[in-house]
Amino acid sequence: MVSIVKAIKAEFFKFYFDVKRYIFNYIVGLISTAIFLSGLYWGVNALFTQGGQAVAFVGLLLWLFASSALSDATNHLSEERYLGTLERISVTKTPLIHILIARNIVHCLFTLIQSIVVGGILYVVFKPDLGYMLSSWKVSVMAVVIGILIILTLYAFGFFIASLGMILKRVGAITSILEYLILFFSGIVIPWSTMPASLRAFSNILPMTWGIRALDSLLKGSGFLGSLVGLIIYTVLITIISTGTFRYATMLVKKKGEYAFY
Amino acid sequence: MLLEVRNLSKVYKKGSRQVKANDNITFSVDQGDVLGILGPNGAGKSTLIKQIATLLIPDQGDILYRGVSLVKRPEIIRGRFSFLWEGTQNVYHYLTGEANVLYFAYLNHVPISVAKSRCEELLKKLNLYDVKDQYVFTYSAGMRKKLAIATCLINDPEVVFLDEPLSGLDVIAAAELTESIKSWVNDRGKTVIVASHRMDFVEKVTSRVLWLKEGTVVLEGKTEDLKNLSKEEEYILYLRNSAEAREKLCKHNLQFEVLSDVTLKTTLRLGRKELFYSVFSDPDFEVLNLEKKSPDFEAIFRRLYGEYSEGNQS
Repeated sequence: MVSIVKAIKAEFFKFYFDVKRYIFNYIVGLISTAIFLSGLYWGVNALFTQGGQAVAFVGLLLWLFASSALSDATNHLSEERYLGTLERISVTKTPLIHILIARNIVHCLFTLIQSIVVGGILYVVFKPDLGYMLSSWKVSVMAVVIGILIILTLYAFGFFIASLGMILKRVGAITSILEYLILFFSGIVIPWSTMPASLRAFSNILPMTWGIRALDSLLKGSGFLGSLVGLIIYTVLITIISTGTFRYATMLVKKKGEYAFY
Repeated sequence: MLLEVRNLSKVYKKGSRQVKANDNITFSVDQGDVLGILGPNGAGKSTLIKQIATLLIPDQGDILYRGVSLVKRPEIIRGRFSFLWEGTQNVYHYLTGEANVLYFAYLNHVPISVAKSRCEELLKKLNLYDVKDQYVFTYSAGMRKKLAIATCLINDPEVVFLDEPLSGLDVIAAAELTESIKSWVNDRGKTVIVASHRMDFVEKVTSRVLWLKEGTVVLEGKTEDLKNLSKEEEYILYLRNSAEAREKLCKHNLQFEVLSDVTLKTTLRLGRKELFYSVFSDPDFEVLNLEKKSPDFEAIFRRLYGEYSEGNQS
């Protein structure tokens, strides 16, 4: 735990310089994301009935974490392998897995700020109906819990993809495909009622589906426990799988001499 | 014993082809040793260091740090060993020089106050203090290399590994860096393992050398002993420039250099005693000065390696 806290400090320090250096790019990214999500929300708003509007609003903001979790984890790991810095950080006192967890936490906090800003813009422009979500503290707290579990699942899934990327070099390139699959087939943009059965079955393996389903049921006032249990099982499973994949991938590249490519 | 490498072997499989990078390598390192791992490109130097760094899993053999197997407990080296890899890719180019050093300090759990004072000291010593706030992408190759060394030393490691520290550097940057490393080695008395194919660098910095060829150790010993292995000591003679002297040097098949109107320079091997006698007894030769030539480290290695190869063939 102490090691992770120290790694978070180091990663915050490094991330500060990254933001400072690329502040313009970050602002442009924020604006383009706000435009993209506004357009998307406006377009799909008509598809949703009561409760679904809030799911689309919260779901789109949570999807920002998918983008961060998948691309950032994979790209950073791959970039460091090519730059040779991965070998440097791998022999420091902080275990590599702690550095990567800390890096995810820092990026997650940054994405949280990003989603608050974008969410604020969307709220002011579209005034979504969040009435039921804010109607009682129990519903609000439950929505937050589900949101946190969705974020955890996304980062664990991102870690799994990044680990796979260590042994399968092309995996990094397909993260954007995954991001759009999550966006369109998790129930955020296209309601399940309109999806064919095969697509619905496919959506079950996407990391946001069980969370969005739980959130949808919660905000429509129907039973959400089944979906919540599904979300918890998915989170635990993907965390175990991603950790196992990381250990296996690390061992394999260390055996083959492919830990770095510089 | 600080570090023991026992029967280490590593084979890379590239399709159906197998490349034996390290073959049954055994050696040990004591505390305070400055060991040079020499050898041409592809000799297996980097593979050896990466196995010690636990970034590459050996096919056979073991590495013991204070008696503990690094194959079984790789985490034991973290924070105790520091590694500088070949090339200039050891630091983050979008961070400033100081930020790079502090980032590595934090990852090595160095307290902030200690990290900051040590960072200042290191950057001053490596002549990087004035550019500490500049982004690394503005640094020259030599400056990046020096910065990478600072990031290696910030946690005061027990053992430092330098893999081809002079690669990609021009003559001046290489000389500067050699001096910086030499001074750090002398000041701190740390254990350092340097892999290089630059004989001059290894000769200046190390106390022991290990010569690798095609993945195997072909020679091991003290740097000084190896230098003393020179069987043919050479002397540089400065002679009075005269037509007679030039004519006689030609007659003895001795190459010479006209340094000025008054001085000629030639080299004599101690083995050619009759020539020494002739030069010193002949009135046409007026010896102005005599210098013992330093043994050429590279030549010694080449000759010894040649002897090793011949011995193996026979």
